[in-house]
Amino acid sequence: MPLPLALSGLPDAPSETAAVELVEAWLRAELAPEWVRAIDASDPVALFALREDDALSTAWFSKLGPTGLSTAAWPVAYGGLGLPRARAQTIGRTLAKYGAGPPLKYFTGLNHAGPTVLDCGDEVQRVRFLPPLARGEEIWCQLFSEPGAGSDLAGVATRARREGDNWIITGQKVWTSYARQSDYAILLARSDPDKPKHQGLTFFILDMRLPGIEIRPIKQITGMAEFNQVFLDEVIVPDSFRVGGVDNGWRVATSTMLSERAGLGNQPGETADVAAKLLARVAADPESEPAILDQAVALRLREIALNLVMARVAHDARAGTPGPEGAIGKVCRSELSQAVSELGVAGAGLGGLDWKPRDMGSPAAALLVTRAATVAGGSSEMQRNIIGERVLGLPKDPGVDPRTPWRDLRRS
Amino acid sequence: MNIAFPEPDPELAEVSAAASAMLVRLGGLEIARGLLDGDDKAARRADAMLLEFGLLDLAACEDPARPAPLRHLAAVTGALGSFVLAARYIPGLVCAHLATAMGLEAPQGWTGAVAFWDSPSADLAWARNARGLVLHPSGAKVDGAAVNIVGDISDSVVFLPAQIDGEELLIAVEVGGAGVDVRPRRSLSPTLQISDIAFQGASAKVAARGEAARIALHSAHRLALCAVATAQAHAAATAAQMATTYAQERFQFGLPIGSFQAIKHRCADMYIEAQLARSMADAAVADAGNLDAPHAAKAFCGDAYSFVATKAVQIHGGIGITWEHAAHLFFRDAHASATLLGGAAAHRRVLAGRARSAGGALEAV
Repeated sequence: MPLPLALSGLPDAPSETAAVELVEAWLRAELAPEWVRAIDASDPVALFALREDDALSTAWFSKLGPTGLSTAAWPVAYGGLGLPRARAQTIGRTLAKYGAGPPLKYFTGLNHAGPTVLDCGDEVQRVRFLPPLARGEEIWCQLFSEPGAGSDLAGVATRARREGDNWIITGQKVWTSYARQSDYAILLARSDPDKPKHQGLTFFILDMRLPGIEIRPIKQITGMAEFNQVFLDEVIVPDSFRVGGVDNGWRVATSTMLSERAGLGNQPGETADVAAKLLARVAADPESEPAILDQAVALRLREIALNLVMARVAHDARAGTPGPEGAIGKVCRSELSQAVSELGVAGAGLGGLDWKPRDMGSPAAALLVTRAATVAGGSSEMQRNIIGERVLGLPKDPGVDPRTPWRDLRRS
Repeated sequence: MNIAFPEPDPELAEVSAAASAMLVRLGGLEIARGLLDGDDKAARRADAMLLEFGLLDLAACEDPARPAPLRHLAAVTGALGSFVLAARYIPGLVCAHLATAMGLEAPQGWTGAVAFWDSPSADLAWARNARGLVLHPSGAKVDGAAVNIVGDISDSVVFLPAQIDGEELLIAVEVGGAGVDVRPRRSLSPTLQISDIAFQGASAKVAARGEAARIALHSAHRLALCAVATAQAHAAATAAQMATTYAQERFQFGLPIGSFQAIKHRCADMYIEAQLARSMADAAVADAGNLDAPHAAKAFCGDAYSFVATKAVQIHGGIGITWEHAAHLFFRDAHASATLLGGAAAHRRVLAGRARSAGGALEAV
């Protein structure tokens, strides 16, 4: 589909500023008027409500997706615009500024499944799956984690057994967002238990409407159920849905995780400076305890320092020398969000304890919702391993034996 | 409180590398160790070489009303920080800056001091140092005492900020003269020299007063904050690197201790704090107009360096608490430099006061 007329100058826009202006003008014309008003008034609550409205945000993406703006770095043939990465990131940031990026339910498809199929899929798979994904016609989820394979993803136990031109998949997956709404999933399964754990995995695309798939929601401490368990019982998957070679699934999953990390810069959940908001609130209250104010300043300083490091990382990446400091972002941002939420409750006294399930706005709710930040997407402990091993060059943990067959490893 | 990311300047890395290379040739960490053991030969060679390097000229103030970025100066003080030497030179740099800001000659070499090292802000320095200081009506003699003077003041000048009869004065006293009794104290860190002075009819001169004095002192205080924070950030990075290298070389249970998560995660944390500190210091140095940034940098970098140096001693285990190992040089310097110009809590208080007076306006915070 060609770009709308208003955006036709985008691929050849002479500067990033010009590109931003084109996208902003298009957004202001196409977004619902109340959406633009919420942005202009810097009203995060109104914007959140608009984004949470499933019908509204789905309708929005059916307009955004076909333009290719949300997949701007993908080739034109697969629903993208074929733009250089830097230009695509500029567009992504502009969309984020208007809260107009893809709704959350498309996130896995656009940031995990799509880039993986693009990188490791065959031509038939790319042509079949990428354009509808880009247009928002098909929703994807990810079937990676299992009850017994969290941080140790390469330990997955879900079996994939070859039978003629098909694979028979049996196992249990967990922490799957939007499983019920999804049309397709990317799936990591064990094809050869006798090989060491990284070498016996195969990567599949799974049609989520196949028989043998059962989905159960997981209720979290917030009272919400954003994730699901997915039980797979003798699900039959044609070999043409395999991505990459047999037993080469770890390499494909690594590609998924790399694109996940590259996409972290424009995560939909990314919020404004949380410590700045807390400090403003604490400072404005003449009754605030001096020690609470002191801690609020300390957290804000940490937030500023983190923003500066991330700006430096982005600068280095543009200059062609991606800084390994990027690994700092996940661990610091998540831990900061928790510390801010804890101080928020400590500083608000009994007045900050009001809470009800599915509540998102109160200090008490923030305390609960931020718990996921240091666990999901690689726990803080794993992030520190990454920094220790890949940035500082420290040796791998002695407990990891890369030669033992997966079958002989102890499991919980 | 908003602090912007400064475009990095590749030229500064060269300045810093040149300074580091020179310090390595002069003995590296052995310069500070010599001072700890009462041998200042290497330090005196470093004094001379740093003068020749032109470091003192970088501190000269051209126009105190228009604060300049301090990037070249910081590039060198960062290198000094990596060798635990910053506290030896920063007081002289600050004194030279203040003197030139007032249109005076800078003192000889690395000597001379400004008596504001207890004060987290220039504004607070006036009242603090007025305590017990009496200026004779002639304005030419002074009685009383000044405590916690940081720097080498032997046969040099000390500038005393004082608020007398409601007016801010910068009083210059020649330390070598009659009626001046200097009592040097030995400090936690070998490169940090602290003295108290008693004045009895000592010859004095009002070097600047009122607005001119306030502007000059503010400019010098900002330089002091930025220089100390930069040195702390670089020292933190060096100490973190030292401990991480040790974690790769030290074997226990048949493995490098850095392979164990208990140690690996500490190394990651040291790295994180050092990276955050470095960004904070760089931003303060580059943005001359930002009044919050130097306080933010001093608060953050002081805590970060203390954290790193403390963990670095622990990661070294037994060798880390021996005199022969360098870990305690960083540990001493970290905790000593953290208190210079007021500790982290004092600077957070300055920033908290500004956040309060901003009335909680989001943009201002």
